Amino acid sequence: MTTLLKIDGLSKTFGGLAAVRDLSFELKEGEIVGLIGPNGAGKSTAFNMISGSLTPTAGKITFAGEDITGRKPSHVVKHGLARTFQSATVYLKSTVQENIYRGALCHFDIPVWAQLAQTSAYKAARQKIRHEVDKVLEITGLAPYRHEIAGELAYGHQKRIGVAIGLATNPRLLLLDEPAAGLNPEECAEFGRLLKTLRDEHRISLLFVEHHMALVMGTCEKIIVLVQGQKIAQGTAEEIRNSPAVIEAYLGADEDAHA
Amino acid sequence: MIRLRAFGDTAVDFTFLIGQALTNGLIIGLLYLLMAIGFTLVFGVMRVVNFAHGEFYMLGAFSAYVCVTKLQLPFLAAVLATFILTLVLGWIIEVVVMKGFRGEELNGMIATIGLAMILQNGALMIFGPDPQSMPAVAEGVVSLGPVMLPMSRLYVVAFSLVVLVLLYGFLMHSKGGRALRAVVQDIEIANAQGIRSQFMYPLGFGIGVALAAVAGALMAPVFSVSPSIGSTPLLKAFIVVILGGLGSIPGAALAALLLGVFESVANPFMSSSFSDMLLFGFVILMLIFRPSGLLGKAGR
Amino acid sequence: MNVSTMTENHNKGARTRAFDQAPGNAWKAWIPALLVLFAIPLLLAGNPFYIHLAVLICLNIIFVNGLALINRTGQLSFCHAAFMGMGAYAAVICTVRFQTPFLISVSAGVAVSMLAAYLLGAVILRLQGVYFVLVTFCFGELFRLVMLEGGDITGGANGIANIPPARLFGFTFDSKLSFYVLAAACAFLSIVFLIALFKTPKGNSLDAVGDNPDLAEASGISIQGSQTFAFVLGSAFAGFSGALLAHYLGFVSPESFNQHISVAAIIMLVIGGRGSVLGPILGALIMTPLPELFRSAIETQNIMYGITLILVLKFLPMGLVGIGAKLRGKKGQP
Ligand SMILES: Nc1ncnc2c1ncn2[C@@H]1O[C@H](COP(=O)(O)OP(=O)(O)OP(=O)(O)O)[C@@H](O)[C@H]1O
Ligand SMILES: [Mg+2]
Repeated sequence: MTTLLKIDGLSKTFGGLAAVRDLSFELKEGEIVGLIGPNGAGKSTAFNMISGSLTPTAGKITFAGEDITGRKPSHVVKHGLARTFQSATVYLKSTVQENIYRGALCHFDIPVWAQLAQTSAYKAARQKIRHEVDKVLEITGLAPYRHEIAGELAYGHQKRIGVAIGLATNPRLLLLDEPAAGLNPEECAEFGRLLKTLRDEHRISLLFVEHHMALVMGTCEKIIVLVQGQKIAQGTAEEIRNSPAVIEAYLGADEDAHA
Repeated sequence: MIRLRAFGDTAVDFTFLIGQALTNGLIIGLLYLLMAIGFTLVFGVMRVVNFAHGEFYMLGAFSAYVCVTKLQLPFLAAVLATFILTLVLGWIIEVVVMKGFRGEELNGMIATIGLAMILQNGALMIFGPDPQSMPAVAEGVVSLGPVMLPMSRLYVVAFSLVVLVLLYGFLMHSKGGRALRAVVQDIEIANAQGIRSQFMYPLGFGIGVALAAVAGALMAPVFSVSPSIGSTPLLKAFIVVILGGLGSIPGAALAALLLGVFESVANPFMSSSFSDMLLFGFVILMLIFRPSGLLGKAGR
Repeated sequence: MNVSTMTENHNKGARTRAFDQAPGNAWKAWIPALLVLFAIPLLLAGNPFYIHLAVLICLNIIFVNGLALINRTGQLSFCHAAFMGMGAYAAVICTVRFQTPFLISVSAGVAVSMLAAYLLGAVILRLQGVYFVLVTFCFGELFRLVMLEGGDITGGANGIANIPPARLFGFTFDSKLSFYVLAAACAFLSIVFLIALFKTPKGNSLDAVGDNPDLAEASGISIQGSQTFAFVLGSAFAGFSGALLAHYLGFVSPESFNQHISVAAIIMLVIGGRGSVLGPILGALIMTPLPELFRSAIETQNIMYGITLILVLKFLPMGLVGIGAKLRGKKGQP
């Protein structure tokens, strides 16, 4: 398995606060990796740097052999690294299928004049996008809701739309920030299955932040623990559960972990 | 480009000129400061750029004019009445008009454009378009070394300083003032601390516009009073808050004084539209490269 | 149960536009309605004042269309009049100084506006919300001052007068009626262009940036790219309307393009409705004639403007276009 994502000495300071300190790890093609840590540990900040919405103070991010440090999100996602947001982030006023369609526009590079002139290349590309949207609707189980307005759907559905938009960009690696937060146990189990499907059938590697321990322990091959911006442990679910450092610094201290 | 406009005499003492310009600049700067602090308060509390701020300056000037010439009140009482009246008016306007736009940057701002139209044209209907003049507050000239100061301007300085000191005391040492500052800094944290922000919105808006009105009242005896006088102070307040960093009161203070001094010093050397051009160019550069203002951290 | 199925079906019809756009259905209703609308003034040809108003409405439609395009990517420009002025001055200077044909002058005006918008946009589109508003406001003021101080080139405060009327393919548009035909054709084309644009994926990505910039950026639609595109194209509309206006009135001055004009455009847009093609048309149609019709009571009328603006913002944030949508019980835009 080749290395897909390589993080090297990544740091971010806000004013005086070091939100992430010297974070390094690797993610191999086809892996599901979990990033855990108490509130304010710097997980979202790390995500924001990897996906390009924050510029790191120091460090290097390599994705599929290319240095993407400091690149804009729209550039990074075109290379196959997509992300979702911690809060449900969708186009509230648009239908579900239009939300996904906008994600699928990621690789749509027909020039405007050709779109206006309705050239045959444009029509073919549009057809292709429709198929992709249909596919994503099926995978995420959103097909029954395709014509609903996203803003009118339940929170859990909105989170799923967020994932669907990310999927529509046709990623090799998908970063998910607390995808299961706010889901009920049933939805959560379903979500775990979706993640496995994505990896097994669609060959998408996953890196996700989650407080829901059962989900993390059940789906991730590798877990990275972040406390106060620093990586304190890394390993399989078993190793993490038994790591004294984690128990002391995280599991013991934070009640979230038992959830 | 360099031509002396202020004095015909070519043998004018240069240090005298600079001294005079600096003093005038500080006086104008104080007024810009009043405008800018009011503007910052409104922005800080509501997150709304108040395009009607200049119209409250204008209302303040008319209020002072009416109090002094029609009601024969002393100037001090006129300024006080202006403050209270506009505070109440601002409070009512916030509750009636602006309430729906709290925290809504763009819609709130456009609403203040509507408000400005209403206020300015209302004044036009009541007072007519012609400039009115008001008797000076004091006669005579004071000389500080070579620098000459008309008493009337000295009054303006004294009043502005008093207002600023009172404001400082209110913001720093009263309960309401501290709550207001907390809201300006971060509304969510303020809410979490149990500050009743429902109450803070009208208070912040009221005090903010009342400060603009006081600036107008103080300037009324110095300049003429007409419904259209609000636009220049508004523009200056914009410049000051951009230079000072939106939402920063110390930044606004520094920027207001610098702006006043710059304008006064530039005045003998170049036309006012040319100095405005320089200023706007500078402001645009500032917004692009240092949107957090003179005192703020660099970058966005 | 019944109700929900009904809305669902309704949504299907109303909301699939960008996605399943069978190019045709909406167009068929729009185009004839517009043509009828633009034909009405021809019936009033006897009254030059009405024709004059109709010309101004058409030019405003083009102007506000440009602003609407920029606004759909989430930015509100307070220097739209500056780009109108740039187009006007550049075109007029070509016509008066270099005696270029009308078509070349207008093209030059549009090109200057686009170039300026591109350069300005490259540095200021990083700013969002209030900061963008303030910087554009300052730029508008700066433009006015530069025109004022422009000496012989811009004619300073007096501006430039005696601009020859538009001439196209040997025909001179020197009567109000003939110019109306030209202006109406241009306004019509600008509308059709926008309808077509917002049916394409490009148009959809512009809306995506306006709806949720962070999400758009994270899913591959560049904020900067989309906003630059809209800013340049929207400013081209402004420059175009300015070039036409100058050749219609025969006169330009710095005050024809001051901040009040930018604000007036914003008011038309907000009252008509943001986020739809119909909004700017409605805004220009309603708001242009009012000042001309009520010349005697400007103050009352301006107060009414202010009140209307606030009421619309409060109760119809989608603008007057929203009324139709509200009546039909849906939340979107046409
Ligand atoms: N834009 C910012 N400016 C200043 N400080 C920030 C910013 N973003 C995050 N922080 C701070 O950085 C630290 C890490 O925040 P981050 O959001 O990355 O934590 P997290 O691990 O995602 O927490 P949670 O589990 O609550 O989502 C926090 O202390 C936070 O307050
Ligand atoms: Mg987080």
